[in-house]
Amino acid sequence: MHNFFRRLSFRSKSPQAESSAKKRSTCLKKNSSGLLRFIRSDHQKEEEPLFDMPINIMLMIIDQLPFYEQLRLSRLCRDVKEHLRRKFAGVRKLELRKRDIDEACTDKKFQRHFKAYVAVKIEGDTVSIVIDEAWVVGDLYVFLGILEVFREGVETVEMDAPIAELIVISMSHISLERWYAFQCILKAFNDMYQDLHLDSPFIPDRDCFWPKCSDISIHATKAQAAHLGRILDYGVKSGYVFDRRTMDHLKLEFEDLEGFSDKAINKQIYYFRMVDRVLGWLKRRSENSQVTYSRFGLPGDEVDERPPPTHIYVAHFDDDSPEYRTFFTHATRAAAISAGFGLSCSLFSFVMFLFEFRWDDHGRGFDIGTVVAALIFLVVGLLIHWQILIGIKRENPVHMVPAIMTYTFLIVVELIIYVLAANHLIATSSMFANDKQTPTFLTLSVFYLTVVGIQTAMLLSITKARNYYEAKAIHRTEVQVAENGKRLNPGMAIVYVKKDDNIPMNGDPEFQNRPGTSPPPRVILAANDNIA
Amino acid sequence: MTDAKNERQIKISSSDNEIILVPRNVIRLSTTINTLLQDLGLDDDEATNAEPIPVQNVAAPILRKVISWCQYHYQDPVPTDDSDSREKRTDDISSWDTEFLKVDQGTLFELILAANYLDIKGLLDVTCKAVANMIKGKSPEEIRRTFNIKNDFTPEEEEQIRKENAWCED
Repeated sequence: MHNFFRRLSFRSKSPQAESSAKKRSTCLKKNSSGLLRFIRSDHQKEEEPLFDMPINIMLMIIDQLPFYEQLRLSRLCRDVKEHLRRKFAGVRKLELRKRDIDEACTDKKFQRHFKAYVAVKIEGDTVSIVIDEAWVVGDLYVFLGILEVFREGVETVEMDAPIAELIVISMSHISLERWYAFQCILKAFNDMYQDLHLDSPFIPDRDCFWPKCSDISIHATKAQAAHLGRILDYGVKSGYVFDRRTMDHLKLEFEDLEGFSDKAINKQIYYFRMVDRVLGWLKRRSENSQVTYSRFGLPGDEVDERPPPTHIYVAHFDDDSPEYRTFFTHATRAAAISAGFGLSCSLFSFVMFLFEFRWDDHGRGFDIGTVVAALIFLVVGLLIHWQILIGIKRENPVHMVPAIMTYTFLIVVELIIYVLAANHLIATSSMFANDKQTPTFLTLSVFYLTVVGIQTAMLLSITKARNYYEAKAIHRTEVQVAENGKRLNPGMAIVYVKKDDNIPMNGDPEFQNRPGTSPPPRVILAANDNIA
Repeated sequence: MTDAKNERQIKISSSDNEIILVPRNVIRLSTTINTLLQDLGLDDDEATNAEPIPVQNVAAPILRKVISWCQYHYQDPVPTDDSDSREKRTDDISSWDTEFLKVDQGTLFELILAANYLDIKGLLDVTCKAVANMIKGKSPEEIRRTFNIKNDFTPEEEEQIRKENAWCED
């Protein structure tokens, strides 16, 4: 395939032809029969080893070879392979450029690949790799092969935008041939269709390409901006290119851009930033949640010069505190009664509705819609109140949230209806009608306010029960933290303090020996139900 | 070179017990002998050492070749650490060294061993380059046969490496 494209490309000058002698031998081999080959090989003498080369000297010799030769000989033996792996893992900086290869190779330190238009220069721990600006698929394979050799230890990468796209595409489901054809189409239309995209599905988990990389600089020109914009299309998460935990800087440099007035360029930059969006989010989150010191001097932790703590204060938790009591009983008991009452009401309302509904007024005497609505009411009513009982049994405040939300909603709706209905009755002057069938303001008020009053009482009980279980869960977590702390630092004492107790102030030696006035610092842990 | 001849001479004996006199400044290129002279305190005495320093692993003809290389190169600047980190090249052998290394393969390998034993970095580099030029383009199988290197890969592993490095194969 790549030969096909090379023939098409203006760079049609083929690589050096094989020597005629070699060609002849190949030709002979192809034409010769298996028997002839067998006879020939039988006549070949087994060559005696010329020299017993110690492996350390062999490694020195291999080190003198050109880069490509060294890699070719990595299958000589395990020692050679390991030696080369260790040597190339020492490379820390990569410079990846798409340039005119002939111009780049005026620097004699570059070693050019014998076939592909790719050259590499190794200087200490820095490697420069150049790929020709008129690249073909064969060049891409060689370029990626070289990158693979150095990727293990690389910390800093500087590259051109097309190469950034190439690296991402090599990790995607799209073949290099297909992508190259896509590039050719773009080139053929002279980049008129900058919004032409080649989409690929997201790839599953894979190894990070540069696991130790901390700095990446991408150089681009206006013409190359579309390469950046397309990176998003290939379904490769940024985490597969670099490890977000080690990354410090991701820099984008435009060589010929002054300001951000060009909308087309801005759009491509925006697409590129979308790839990195997750990185920024994670970084912010990590700063919020990272613990950077150790109070207990565990092995491997950062050393903290402060002395280990002597006391840990845990706020006292009073089960019978007034804030957890309602209607002369404990909130949990009131909530349980409310749940039972609510269950009974739901069931009773359903049954009463079935018997009291005027079925005959609805055609055939049975209305499916009404029955379904009644059943939904029954199921929802039972579920909500059943959840309260489950919450009480498991001591989990989350189970009470549906009931709190439902009752709050019901009370508000009922009050609105009451206000609207009362307004209607007053307007039609039927405040105290003698007709028994017509509801009066008084009967309406008595009915609605009684219902709303009962529901408010139930809501109060359930809310207080939820607060109680939430406070209890927080207290349990605090005790657990204190006990963990004590296990790590046995010298530390757990002190349970009430709200009015005086405790010494933290960190100030002057106050260490006398009681302070501040309350113990309390860990604020919100329940996962988003209710304050 | 004339200066070197007027200097203090050091006696060294080869593996076949031939004693060779070498100027002190010339043999300084051999880290092995240089360290030995310093550690034994032989440098304190200006006279030639009475007991020759034994170089048991190197035969006289090879030792003479090594000394002739040292005599030509003893005034070369000391290579810096920076030059170590640079990527090695095989096409930068000086013309004198090229002529010096026009020997049969057996002698060349003996020279490598001698340079390694005597720890003469320059000679080791240049001889390694010469061998590297010889093996350039040879298949791993040929190199294994020539240098008696055991192939400790399984066929599957070797195939895997071949596939990984297919891009740098001919």
